[in-house]
Amino acid sequence: MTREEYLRQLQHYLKRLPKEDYDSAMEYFTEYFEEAGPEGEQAVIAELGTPKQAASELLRNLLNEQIVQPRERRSVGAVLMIALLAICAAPIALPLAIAATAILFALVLVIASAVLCVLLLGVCGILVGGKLILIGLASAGSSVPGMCMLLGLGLLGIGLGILLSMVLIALCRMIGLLLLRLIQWILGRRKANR
Amino acid sequence: MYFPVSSLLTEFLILAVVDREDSYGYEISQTVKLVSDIKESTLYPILRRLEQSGYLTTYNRQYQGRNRKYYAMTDAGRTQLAFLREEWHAYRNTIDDITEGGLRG
Repeated sequence: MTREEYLRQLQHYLKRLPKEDYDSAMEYFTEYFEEAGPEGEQAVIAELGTPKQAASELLRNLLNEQIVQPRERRSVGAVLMIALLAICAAPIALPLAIAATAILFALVLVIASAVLCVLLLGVCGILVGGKLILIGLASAGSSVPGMCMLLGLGLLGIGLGILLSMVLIALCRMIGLLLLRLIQWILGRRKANR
Repeated sequence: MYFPVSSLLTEFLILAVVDREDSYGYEISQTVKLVSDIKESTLYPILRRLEQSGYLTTYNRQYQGRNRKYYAMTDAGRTQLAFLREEWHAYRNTIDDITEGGLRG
């Protein structure tokens, strides 16, 4: 296989990476081939393996490095995209890849619905709290203890709502990380099995 | 070589190479490969992470009519290198003490 053909195939496997990651990776490997020169071409290809193999390892390692790197926060979407590509490029049979992708998709949906539920609960808490405070204020004329109780309940509602929202944010972050670890584990196992 | 070179040790090697003089992918790779049989598909993601973590910056320079991407150290990179060097010395000394100096726990 020639260098051009090799890079073209590699391009094919990597093209769905976030643009910046894609450009950077292709640039690196193109430059690497150029530095190795025509006489080093076959040695480079021998080291990397087939384009599919190279892409698969590259994606898995990119994913691993993304996870161990706490400094720069990548968007969850971008990292999930890399994860998805890593699964698809992994040396596993197509039906398995489809199943893995489907499971991943289902997991994301389940988590999204759970997150939405908690979010709605929080919003309800805040709304009900607001309403209770208004009623409490309105009943100030007729019963002072009643007003106090309603105001208290209202504040409780708002507080709980805000707390839930905060817990939610922390939860999202944790779930995202867990999901990535899961993918990493699946991909890692494939390697160990070979 | 016989002993495996971890991802962290590779990071140490890369930073040390670039610290001495700005360098480009192929040269860094050939240097790391003196001690490790690392593949390019493993080395590149480490290099990329170092860049994204702000340890290395890059610039382009023309060489024989084509582009070369050079890597250069940042202050954060130098701090990290100093830290890794210190850790490496402690590690190496302890290994030496055990394997050659008869150290016991």
